[in-house]
Amino acid sequence: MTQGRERTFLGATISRRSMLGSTAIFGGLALAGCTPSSEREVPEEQSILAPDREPTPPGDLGPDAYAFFTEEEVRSLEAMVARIIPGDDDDPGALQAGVPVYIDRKLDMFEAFAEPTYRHGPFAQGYEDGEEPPADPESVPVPEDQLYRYGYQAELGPQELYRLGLAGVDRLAQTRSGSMFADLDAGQQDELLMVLDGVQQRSEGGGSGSGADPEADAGEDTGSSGPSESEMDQAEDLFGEADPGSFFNTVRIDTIEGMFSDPAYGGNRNLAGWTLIGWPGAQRSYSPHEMMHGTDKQPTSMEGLTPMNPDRAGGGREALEQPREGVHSH
Amino acid sequence: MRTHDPVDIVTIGGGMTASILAARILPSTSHRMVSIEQGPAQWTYPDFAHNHDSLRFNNRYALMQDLNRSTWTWRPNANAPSLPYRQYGSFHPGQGLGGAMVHWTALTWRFLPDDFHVRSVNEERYGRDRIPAEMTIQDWPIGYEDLEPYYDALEYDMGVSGKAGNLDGRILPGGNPFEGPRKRPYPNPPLERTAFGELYMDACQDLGLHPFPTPAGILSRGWTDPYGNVRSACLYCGFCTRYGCEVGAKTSPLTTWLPPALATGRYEVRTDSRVLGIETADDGRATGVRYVDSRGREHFQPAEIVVCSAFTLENVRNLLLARSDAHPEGIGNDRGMVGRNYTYQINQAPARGLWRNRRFNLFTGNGCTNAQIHDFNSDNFDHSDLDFIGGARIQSEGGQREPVSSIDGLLDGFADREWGADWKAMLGQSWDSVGELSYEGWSPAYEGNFLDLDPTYKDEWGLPMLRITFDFRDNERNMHRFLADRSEEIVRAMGADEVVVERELGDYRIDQYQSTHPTGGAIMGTDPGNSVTNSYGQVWDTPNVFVTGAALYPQNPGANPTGTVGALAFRTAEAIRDRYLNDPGELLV
Ligand SMILES: Cc1cc2nc3c(=O)[nH]c(=O)nc-3n(C[C@H](O)[C@H](O)[C@H](O)COP(=O)(O)OP(=O)(O)OC[C@H]3O[C@@H](n4cnc5c(N)ncnc54)[C@H](O)[C@@H]3O)c2cc1C
Ligand code: SF4
Repeated sequence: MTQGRERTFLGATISRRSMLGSTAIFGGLALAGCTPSSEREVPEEQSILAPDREPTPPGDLGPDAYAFFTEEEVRSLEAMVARIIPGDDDDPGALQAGVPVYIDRKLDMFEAFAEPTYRHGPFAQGYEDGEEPPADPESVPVPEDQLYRYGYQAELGPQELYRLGLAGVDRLAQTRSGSMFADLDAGQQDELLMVLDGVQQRSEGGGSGSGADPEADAGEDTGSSGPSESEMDQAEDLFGEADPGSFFNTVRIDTIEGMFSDPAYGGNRNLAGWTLIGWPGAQRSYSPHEMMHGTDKQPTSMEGLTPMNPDRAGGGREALEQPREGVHSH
Repeated sequence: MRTHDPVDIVTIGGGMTASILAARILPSTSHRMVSIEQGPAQWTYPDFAHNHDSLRFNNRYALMQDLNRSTWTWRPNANAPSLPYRQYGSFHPGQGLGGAMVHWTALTWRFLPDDFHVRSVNEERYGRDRIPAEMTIQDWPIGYEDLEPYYDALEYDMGVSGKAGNLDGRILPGGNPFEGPRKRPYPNPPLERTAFGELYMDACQDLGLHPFPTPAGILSRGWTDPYGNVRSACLYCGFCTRYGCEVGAKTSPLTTWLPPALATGRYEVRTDSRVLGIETADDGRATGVRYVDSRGREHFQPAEIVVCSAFTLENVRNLLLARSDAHPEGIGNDRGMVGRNYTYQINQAPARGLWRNRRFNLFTGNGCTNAQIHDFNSDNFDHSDLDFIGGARIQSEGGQREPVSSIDGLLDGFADREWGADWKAMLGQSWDSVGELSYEGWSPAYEGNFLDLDPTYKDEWGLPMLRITFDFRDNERNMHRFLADRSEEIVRAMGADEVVVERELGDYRIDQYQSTHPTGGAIMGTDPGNSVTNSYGQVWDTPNVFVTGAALYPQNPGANPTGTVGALAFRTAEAIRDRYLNDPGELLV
């Protein structure tokens, strides 16, 4: 990642040393596992925790403040993630777990992508079977039904995708039912999201709806027929530059990330996601007995990860420290 | 441009094979070696001490190359347009001191004896017409016997954990009966068993197959290696592939070869520096490498030997980029051989099961805490009546399941769709109750699958990217159907309540992770007419350039590549140390 913005964290440059010293604090959280006994100076360039290497978890703006989304966008986004992983106070879902905040922090922190992404043109331009390939010298013509094989190829960054996509969801809701997405009832919301999901499946040449593709002797079709071609075409028209299928899939994947990543990233509040599935989270080790028969370990965030033995005096650090002589950053 | 003092050897990349060369060549000689590594320095402690962050390492690829600066392009065939690989999918080349092995999964294989003679074996047993005209597979210039001593040395350096199946011709129960004869057993016993692996082993046994624990480059007990590195056993922490190991139980250059190499004082790794080109003299000999450091300053490092050890794809690219009057099409390419026989690994999970009310603790352990069968690999089974040749190893799912990287797709086929209340409820019940069988299949070479330079896309330094032209063919599709049937039989024998089977391979798509095992493109062979290098990785038309790694494979067998990558690097190191440097410039025979 080379975007200058990612080197700063909520506006303030993080000093690498501050992350590696004895009480590494960032965003109000002590970095998991750094204990006061690790006094030894770490050469700056040696650290994979350096902010220019990859993202560090964002800090806290206050649990319910949004940095990237507008109020209207928040309303639609909250409604969307609440259908992707529904829940209530007793059985928390995406909303209760703070997923919209996770997504907000991610978009705010990364102008482009949180993962390494090649962002230069020329970009692909799809064309339908039987059509003349477009002659635009600035783009690469690719048959529409082959595009999915090339993976992510859109010119839009995630920030624009969310802006356009959330507006598209409301436009589609208006056109279908005459109100904003957040004001539809749950059944209507699901139907609309199934249209978007259907567009995604259609672009991959599959049936409509995620899941239920391969041959299974389970999950008999519940009889609910998928969205029609014309509904999907309508969504594509109303979304304009953003693809409704990849927008839905992006929100779905980001919802999974926000629900199940470490709470330091803003979601998974009270470890709701890990409690749901029974994942013990950040652990140092499992015994052979635990591997075979299960564990009593309770979900633990990075913050609660026990310090590593070598951090303690006499913890055997020497065996893990390798000679540095001869390795130089240039 | 700053010109450095000449050294004996310069390597492009400071990864696995570079560190093996340094550790095997330098200690007993007075030679000097420099590696230029594009990524940062990184060490077990403290860099990996606090890294159990799956979002960052798994989903955001903290240890992988920065695609925004340079990537690779792909197209399915020579008539289709190529587009850049914009985000990680199919494969994940690593960067940083120690290379991809720092965050590998650590399955450590020897290839099977037949794998080295795949064309002759199939022609002899099934007739010439069983090999399609387009399939350009060829025998390796060396056999299993030639590599055995190097496999052996590598396994003891790494402290591989496993169960021998063939000790000097004696078949031992519990190991892989199809492996080639080995001189010594594995240095360490297998890793701990897991509930899912146990179920798989039992089912395979019931079906008359030959299951055995995965040979792992991960320590099952404390180990002091031949260099004196003291290493501790695996903690089965569950954060393994794509992470550096915080206790050094997973073997990598950091735990094993860098310490003795650096201790000589004659090895230097320059990190955060990227090689832009191999320079050549008028007579075509390589003179050294040109690189940029992190501040964009250019350097030249002259050397007697230039080693391409930058992983398969960049090795091929660096050869093609080195165009000069002496090498108009690049180094090694005077007969158009560079880029040919590009192969991959057919890696799929065709059968998955759901066991109601059962939890497997799949989040513990690592990618090697599982079991394998080789009954359907290579020519271990009769292909007379089958519509394909070759095969795959089939394995049960290992451990290290984490939510952010496992949930999307986990219930595909079990749930109607992967969002909503029903899916959430099922996820809560079954996240740890579904498991898969996957196979790692061979990838035959074809005329139409190859590597060359992309005419359109350039990297941050203005150099053409490498273009991958690759797709599956009928042999792979037919093999997949066969393996899907076998996998289904096993999953059913494991007593799954529900089973999902992917019967069809589908087309190759670059957005889905399959394996970081791109192979071939600078293949070894018996003469310059059929290959780029000899069996030492020495380039036929430029004898002071060597290639290491899986680019040398004429085609990729049905097992992970790194055991053989390591054994070949040991053999090359020995040849450079004991023979080449006494008589530089000559081809090794
Ligand atoms: C996630 C993952 C899991 C894997 N699991 C297994 C497994 O279980 N079993 C198995 O057998 N194999 C596995 N592998 C493959 C294994 O890691 C590789 O085969 C092995 O690391 C190859 O060694 P190498 O020396 O060829 O390349 P590497 O070790 O990758 O080293 C190449 C180095 O060159 C550097 N480089 C590239 N270009 C330049 C340049 N222009 N200038 C400077 N430096 C450059 C890179 O940054 C890198 O550090 C896995 C790989 C990955 C990514
Ligand atoms: S599973 Fe074992 S080898 Fe892998 S990172 Fe954890 S302790 Fe290291």
